[in-house]
Amino acid sequence: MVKKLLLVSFLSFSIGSLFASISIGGKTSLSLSGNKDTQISTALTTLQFDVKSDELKGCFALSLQTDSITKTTMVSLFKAYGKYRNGNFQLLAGKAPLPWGGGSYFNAGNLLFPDTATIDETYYVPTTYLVQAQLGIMKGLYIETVGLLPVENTKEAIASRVRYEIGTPLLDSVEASCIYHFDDKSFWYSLGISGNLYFDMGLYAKTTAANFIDDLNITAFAMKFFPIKDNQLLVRGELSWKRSGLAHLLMVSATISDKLIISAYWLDDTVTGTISYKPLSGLTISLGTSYETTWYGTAQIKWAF
Amino acid sequence: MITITLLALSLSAEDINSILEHYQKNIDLQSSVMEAKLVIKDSLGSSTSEIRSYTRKGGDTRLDVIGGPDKGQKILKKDSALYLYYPDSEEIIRLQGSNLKDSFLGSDFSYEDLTRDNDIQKNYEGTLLDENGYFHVMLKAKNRKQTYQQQELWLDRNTYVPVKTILYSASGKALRQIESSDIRNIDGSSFAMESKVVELLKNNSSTTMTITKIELNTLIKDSIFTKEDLAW
Repeated sequence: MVKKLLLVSFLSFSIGSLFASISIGGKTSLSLSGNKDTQISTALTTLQFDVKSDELKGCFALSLQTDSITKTTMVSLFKAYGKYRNGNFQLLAGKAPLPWGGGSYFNAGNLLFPDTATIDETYYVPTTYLVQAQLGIMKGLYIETVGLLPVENTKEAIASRVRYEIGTPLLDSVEASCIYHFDDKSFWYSLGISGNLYFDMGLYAKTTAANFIDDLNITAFAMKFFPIKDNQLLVRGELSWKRSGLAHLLMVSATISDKLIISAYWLDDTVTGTISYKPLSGLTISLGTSYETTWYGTAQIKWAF
Repeated sequence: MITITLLALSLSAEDINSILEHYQKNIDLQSSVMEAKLVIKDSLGSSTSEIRSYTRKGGDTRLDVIGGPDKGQKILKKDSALYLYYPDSEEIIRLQGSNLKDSFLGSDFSYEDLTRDNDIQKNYEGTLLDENGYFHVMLKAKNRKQTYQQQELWLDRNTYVPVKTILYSASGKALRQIESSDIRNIDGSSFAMESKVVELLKNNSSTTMTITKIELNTLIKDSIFTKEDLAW
């Protein structure tokens, strides 16, 4: 199955490469983190190759990661897919991300990647093996069907989403989705809305028909930029409600200059502060500290090329 | 005396209309495809990005970042809505509300600047302040929708290209200054090949945009201005 899937991806990739534009890019980061008792250093490099023509697109991205504890280099496939389009129809096969719903940390609208929350969305994007068909029915109205393939740790499932982009200043879009997991024969449903009312905001909910209240999860986000003298302050808040309790994320990020950004996160019991400096094109140096039960420090150099 | 004054005012009004018509003609293109280099400098360092832009009459604009740390990012302005494509997550988000005030690629342009309606005569009332050396023009917005409520322009007398522009807020505070140079005639339209934008509220912050390739009134496929193509 894996071989077949990769064959499909590479076939599309190769066909595309015969008459398409090619682009190569990547990013690498070196991190040192820990406290007085434990330290770990990590190196992560991602390389991505894209080829495309008007109708075909191929993408292949690899991640190489090594750290001071395991002392081994792990190579993982980040993306490998082929894509075909014709008018309002698109078909994708391979390993790819699927950005459903909304919210950078809590996102009840994404039934396909429910437990992959991360603050640093730039450096961690979940991808999985899937086949996806998308059809634009009329202006702003899209229907998608996705089959998750049982490759690596992915559980076999089939999902569908209907999304309508309203596009007014108040309301951006509404979406409804459902997923059926073959292993436990469970159905999950999701509804979501995003728009702007003083803040940019989104509200998403998911649950099952079998345990409507017990499985209910509602997530919401709101964000706004505030210009303060020469600087810019971004305030973002996210909430996730489940019957078991309420989880929250509050993020404040101040752009002191376009090269210097100070950020702070408060995620449940953990507080994190980071200073990022961009001295050269593509280069970012970050120093951070976080506190949960003990202090933890991080130093990182990132280079995007 | 009153008649002479009215006649003078009337002539002045005709002059400003004629100046704005010439100015509008330069920016009123059927379409354009352009590649440019953006050098963004402030007191803490500099960075370089390369962009390719597609524009067509009516204001639809698409920007692809083709070089630099944000390579792969794409922006589409269509029907007054602005969409941003992130290549890693392959996600398109609609920029609205406060998001529009965020800096574009860390430059001295905001996303809001990209959504500006270029129809000067429709949106602004012009006054000719001086015509010695340059046509020194003050534009005042006819409605509150305009990002910049006042624009002060120094237009080259031969080409009607603004060699200097100061953009003001509603309260009359100077926000941005744009200085343009290397004016060339391309297919009958005059263009400044280099522009330097200075954010006047920040210290030592500037963005220099140098056009490296330009095609005017060229055929651009309709699909370029669709969200589907943004994610392609």
